[in-house]
Amino acid sequence: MKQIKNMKNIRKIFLICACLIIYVYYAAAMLDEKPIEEYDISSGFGVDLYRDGAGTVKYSIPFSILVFKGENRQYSMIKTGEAPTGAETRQNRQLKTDKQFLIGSQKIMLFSESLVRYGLKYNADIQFNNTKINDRGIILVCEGRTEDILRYKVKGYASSPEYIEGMIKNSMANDFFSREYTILNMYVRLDTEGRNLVLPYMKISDKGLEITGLALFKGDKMVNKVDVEEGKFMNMMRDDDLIGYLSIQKNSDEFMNFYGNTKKRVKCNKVKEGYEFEIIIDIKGDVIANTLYKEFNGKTKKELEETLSKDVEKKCSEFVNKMQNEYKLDCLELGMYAVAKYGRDTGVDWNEVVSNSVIKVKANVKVDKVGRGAY
Amino acid sequence: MKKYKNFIFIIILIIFVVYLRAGEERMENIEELEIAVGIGYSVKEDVGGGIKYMLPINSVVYQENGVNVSTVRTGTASTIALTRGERQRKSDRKFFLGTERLYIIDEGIGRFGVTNTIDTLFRNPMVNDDGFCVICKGKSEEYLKYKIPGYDTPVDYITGMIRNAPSYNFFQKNYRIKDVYLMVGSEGRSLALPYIELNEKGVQITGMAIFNKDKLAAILDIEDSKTMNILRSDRGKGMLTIQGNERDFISYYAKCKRKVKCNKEGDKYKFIIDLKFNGDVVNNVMYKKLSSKVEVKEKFEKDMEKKIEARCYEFIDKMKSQHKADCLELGRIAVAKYGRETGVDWDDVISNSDIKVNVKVKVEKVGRGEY
Repeated sequence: MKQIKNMKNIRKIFLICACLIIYVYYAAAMLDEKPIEEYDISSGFGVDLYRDGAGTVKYSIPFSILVFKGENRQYSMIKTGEAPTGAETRQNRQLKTDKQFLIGSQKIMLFSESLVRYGLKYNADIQFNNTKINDRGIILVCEGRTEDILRYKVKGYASSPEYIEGMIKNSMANDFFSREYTILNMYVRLDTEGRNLVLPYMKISDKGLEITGLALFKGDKMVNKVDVEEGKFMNMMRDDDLIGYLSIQKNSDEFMNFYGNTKKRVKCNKVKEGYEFEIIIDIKGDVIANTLYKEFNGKTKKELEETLSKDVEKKCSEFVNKMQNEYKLDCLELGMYAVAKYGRDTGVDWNEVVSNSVIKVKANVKVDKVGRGAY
Repeated sequence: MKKYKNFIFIIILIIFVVYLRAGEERMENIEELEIAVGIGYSVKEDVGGGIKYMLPINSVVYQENGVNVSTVRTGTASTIALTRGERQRKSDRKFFLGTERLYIIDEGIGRFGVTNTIDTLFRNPMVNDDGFCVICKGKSEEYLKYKIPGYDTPVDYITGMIRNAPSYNFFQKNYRIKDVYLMVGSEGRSLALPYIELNEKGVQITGMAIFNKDKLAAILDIEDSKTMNILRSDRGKGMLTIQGNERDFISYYAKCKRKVKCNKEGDKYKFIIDLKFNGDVVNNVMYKKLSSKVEVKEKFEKDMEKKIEARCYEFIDKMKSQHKADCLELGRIAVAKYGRETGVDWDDVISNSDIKVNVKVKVEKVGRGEY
């Protein structure tokens, strides 16, 4: 009996100790924390690089901060830190701001073209080390200074980053836009053999904020860019499971629009002279507008599928040609497939190998639905 | 006893009513007051060769429709106390002191001496001792009149700036007016306050203003301020960077703890300042394999120690030869050990004594790894 009582006591003491330890642990952690109103919460930030008069590199990192006043009124403020290294900008920014910074809730991260042409590695490191950052935030490259884009007023929005985020997210449902433009994907693409980073490229045009193309990277440096139309076919060959529109147009009265999603497969073979790649794109979707064919039957449907396939193949091959001869880059990440099959760390420059190998593109378009019928 | 019960009750009632009535006379509606939130101090040279004090007060008027209006009214007179009357003549409301959060002293007052200013503040039991005190470039009026979208008054912004400055640059927390009283009045202590500047990009802290007794001795740029703050404060936080060239750098966010030992040898004092840094590497493209190899980590710690030490000695030399002030408050430690009120000028003694700095750097975390 006595022993049982003892045991109970020990258990009680143990429980109290455990409670105390847990309480102290959390209380100590709370010491550093402040209420949310005491923080500068940013919806997005940019990373800029410029050389000052003496020619030394300076990073300028503007944050778009939301200022809440009253119930319905919101202002956005730009707070910029400038210093020779990325981490020092935080220190510099703190001198100008009335709150503590919370880096991590950002929706977008903008890189200026000057930074990505200089190299992204130095900046990727600080983001990688920061455990608080939102790894699913979207990243983009922009023309000119990032501060101008963050400062750009969009009607109905408190700050431009919210608008830009929507722009990228909704492009994914159109135009064969990829989903890969997040910080997490950047880490992977910068450091993996046989892969290359591609980021959306935007600028302020006379119509407002606009995505004008895709920036192509070699290693951690931007080397070229393609426009939206070219990017469409590049993405089709580069990424899996994309959604977008295809069309055939003979003249203004006779056209056909097609909305479908893609599936991609890559076959890689090593032959004597080099590598041989075959990219097979399956596109399955619906006809959404059609004045080209009077009537749909088995024959015309097949004809339509063939014409579309030929069209896609032609445009894809055009891009492959341009890529091999002009860009001299492995934008399609074909190196990744070769590496998987024939082993990595062989010291091969995949940009060069892919530029010199044979790449065949095959497209299979399949029409699923044709709508309620022809009008 | 029962006889008196009613009588006592009546007397208590009367006292109560009188008390409440008396209170009513002093109190006024909030809409009829100007609530001071920030006070500026400036001097202006008078025609006769004397000086005049200019005291702009930024106050908030609460209107009945719920919109707060911020106004700046300036009082000019030959002494600080007289500015009150002069200012009241320009205002249709009564000034209400006690809720001010910021005291902006400009360089002019600093060069002239802050004793008068502080004396008037110290004597007044109504003022808020927890308000922050800063030194500014130019006239203090400009800062109080500066408009920031989203903020009622610039005072909110500047106060927040000073309050949150300690998270970087090794700034201290003791820039309140009550700390200023102590720093000016105690033996072996010296005044050092944040220095703010207003330019086209907004208000910004650009360094520290250091004082010799009650007069502004020098304004340090931000790099020197950082070093001084490390050596001066017991604990601080900040970013330290070693940079080889533009593509070769490492940044280290650390907390610093200071301990000072003091020895007297004959007439000469000897100080040993122990600095302990403990923090995380936040950006590293310089040391390869920092996270996996202990030797690399140790090498970084050594390099960082050397760099901080060199910076500290550089600042101490500058302090001894140029500023000739005890910005590090070392006199305070000597006074505690060897007794106060010995009639020693600590600014002089510190400038001639031997100061040694020992730095210890420790890396706690290296982040998710290097890229």
